[in-house]
Amino acid sequence: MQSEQFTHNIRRKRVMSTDGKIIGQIRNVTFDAPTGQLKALVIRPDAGFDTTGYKLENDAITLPFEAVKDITDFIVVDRYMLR
Amino acid sequence: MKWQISELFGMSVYSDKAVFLGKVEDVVLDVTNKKISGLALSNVNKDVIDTKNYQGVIIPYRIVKEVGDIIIVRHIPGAFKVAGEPLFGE
Repeated sequence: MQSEQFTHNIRRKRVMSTDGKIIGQIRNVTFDAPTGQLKALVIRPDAGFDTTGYKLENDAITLPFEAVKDITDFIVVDRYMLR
Repeated sequence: MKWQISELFGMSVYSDKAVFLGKVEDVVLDVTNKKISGLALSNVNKDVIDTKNYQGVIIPYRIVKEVGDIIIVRHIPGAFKVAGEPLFGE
């Protein structure tokens, strides 16, 4: 099933990986203008999330949009595709 | 160039016939295909687009040509009426 979302619906959602860990809060989504292809999620990680191995930029980490499995109550990302 | 979705909010949308269409109020994401599927416009130019009783209109992202200081979309003659009579009539 095709899942479509308004950005105002997802702006307050939290990001969870498929192992059930909460990563943080969504900040932004980057995309490629000519094609509209979504590139990455910009996430403000929770205090309890270990960010070692992630690139921190202005207190935010970016994850590839490829990793997004679905967006319902949470934004669920595949734990194996996070880096 | 890489853009952030939040940069689109409030951006003016014009057709390539230089007709103002509206401002970006929201963006519709196609999560399955991982792309932007449409732009929801507010402040819609009612001379050009018939919004009926709706607050705004969603235009498909595939008609977007350029994103910069403004957004330029392909002019769709059936959907966008060109406003006004010619100033110097034939």
